Amino acid sequence: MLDFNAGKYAAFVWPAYALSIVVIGAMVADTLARARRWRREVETREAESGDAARLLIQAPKAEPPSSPKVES
Amino acid sequence: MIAALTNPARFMAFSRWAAPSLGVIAAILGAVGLWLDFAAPPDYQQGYTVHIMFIHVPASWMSLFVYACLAGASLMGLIFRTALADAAARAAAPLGAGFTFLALATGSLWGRPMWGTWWVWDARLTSVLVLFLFYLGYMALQAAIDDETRAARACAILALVGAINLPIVHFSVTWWNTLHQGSSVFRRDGPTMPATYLAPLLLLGLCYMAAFGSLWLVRIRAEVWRRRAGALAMRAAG
Amino acid sequence: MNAIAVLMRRELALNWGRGGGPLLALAFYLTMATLLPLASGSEPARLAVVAPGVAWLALALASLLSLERLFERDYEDGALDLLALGPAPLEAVAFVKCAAQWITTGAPLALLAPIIAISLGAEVQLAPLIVVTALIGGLGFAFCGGIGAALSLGSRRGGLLIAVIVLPLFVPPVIFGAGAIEAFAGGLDWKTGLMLLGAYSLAAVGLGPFAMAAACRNALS
Repeated sequence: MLDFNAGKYAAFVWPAYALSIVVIGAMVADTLARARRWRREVETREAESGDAARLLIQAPKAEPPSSPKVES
Repeated sequence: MIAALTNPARFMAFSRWAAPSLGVIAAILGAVGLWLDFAAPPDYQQGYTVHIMFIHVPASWMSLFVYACLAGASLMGLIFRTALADAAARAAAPLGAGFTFLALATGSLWGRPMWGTWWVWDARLTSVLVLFLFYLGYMALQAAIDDETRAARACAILALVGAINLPIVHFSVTWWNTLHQGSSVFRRDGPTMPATYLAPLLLLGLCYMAAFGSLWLVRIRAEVWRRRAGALAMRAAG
Repeated sequence: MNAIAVLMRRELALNWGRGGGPLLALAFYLTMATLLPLASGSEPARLAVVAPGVAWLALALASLLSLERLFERDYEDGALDLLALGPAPLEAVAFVKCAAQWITTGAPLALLAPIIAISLGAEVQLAPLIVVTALIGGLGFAFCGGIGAALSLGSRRGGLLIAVIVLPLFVPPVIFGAGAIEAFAGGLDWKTGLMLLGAYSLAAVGLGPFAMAAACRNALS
């Protein structure tokens, strides 16, 4: 049913298919890795800022530094 | 639809289901296409190498199609000044370069057994080569400018200049080939293609297109996340 | 109009004065022409066949040389900001800069081109056509090169980046110009190639400044 007998052209046909699979596979891998990496980054930073916000609410309000009076 | 293109939140919601769906579609089309590919009999003239055509022509289509998408996104970015359009243009470039490289490599492997040379300066192959050079220049310019908005705008201008240039290049090589009467016109597709070849060709063409669509959407998502991470980092530091 | 004249005078003076003017580009052209027979063997018959084409190619490459300084100089010392705010539109500024580039570098290269081609073995009767195509093509190279120079303002790789960006733009004029010369040498119709070259250069002159101005504005923002 499926014809895989390349004969003398095997040295050209199979490398072409192999190259296509490799390049497309590399594009897929790179794209997914990139997406995964930045999504993780966003989640980490959102968690961090979430922690920081929680800490701010819990800690007592710090005294604002008194501004030096401007001599007129 | 337009909102999905300009509003990052809408885009993320849209691409969340669209990207995997396109991926699945690409896989199915690819499986069926490859099946029909190897079920097809060898060509009378080309022999078994006709099977390279089934992956070369879709790659060539994609190299042009991705460029059209890149130019379109660049135009949108220049006119509407949305970060999403800039991100889309930036995301498309490496994919376009990959397909263009495949078009050149498979074209070379197809040409060697057919016409005895690894390379031939006909209009289509030469235009694809210049297109590859364009992608490289585009990515180089992108990398060389530090400010993101500025880089996006410069690349957008380059993309539009290149869009005008590409048909001129194609025409110039066609004209040059008419001078050198020695090189015959390389009719790869043939005047009419039998249905046993047309079907896998179209299916694989659509497969490549769906795969690009899926990958492009995911890359743009990655860009959106990257910018958000950068903004969060700045806020945390400030 | 006056502002443009002043700018043109300034550009011409700067291009002629700085670092020996066009001499550097001419020397580079000469060096490349010398390298060809050294690299590929000095067999006269073989050289003569490629001579016009190579002369044309080397011309394109030599044109790339002075491109980096086209806008960079003014960009770095703030003069480009002033020019952008000045009376002349930025498109006109770009036009003048490229025109001055063509006059000071492109024209001398075009005059050297037939000598190079003949020294590589091209026939003497090709010389007038070589000069004409080199002049017209040089115009296209200057304006297309200007686009590359403007786009890479403020970037980190300068000269090499400009070359990579600009090379796809150089392909049509190289093909048209070299094709016209080869057609003439072969007794075929050369006028078409010349006209196509002229059309391309005209388009570059007409459209290039808009792209350059947009790129400069982007770099200044």
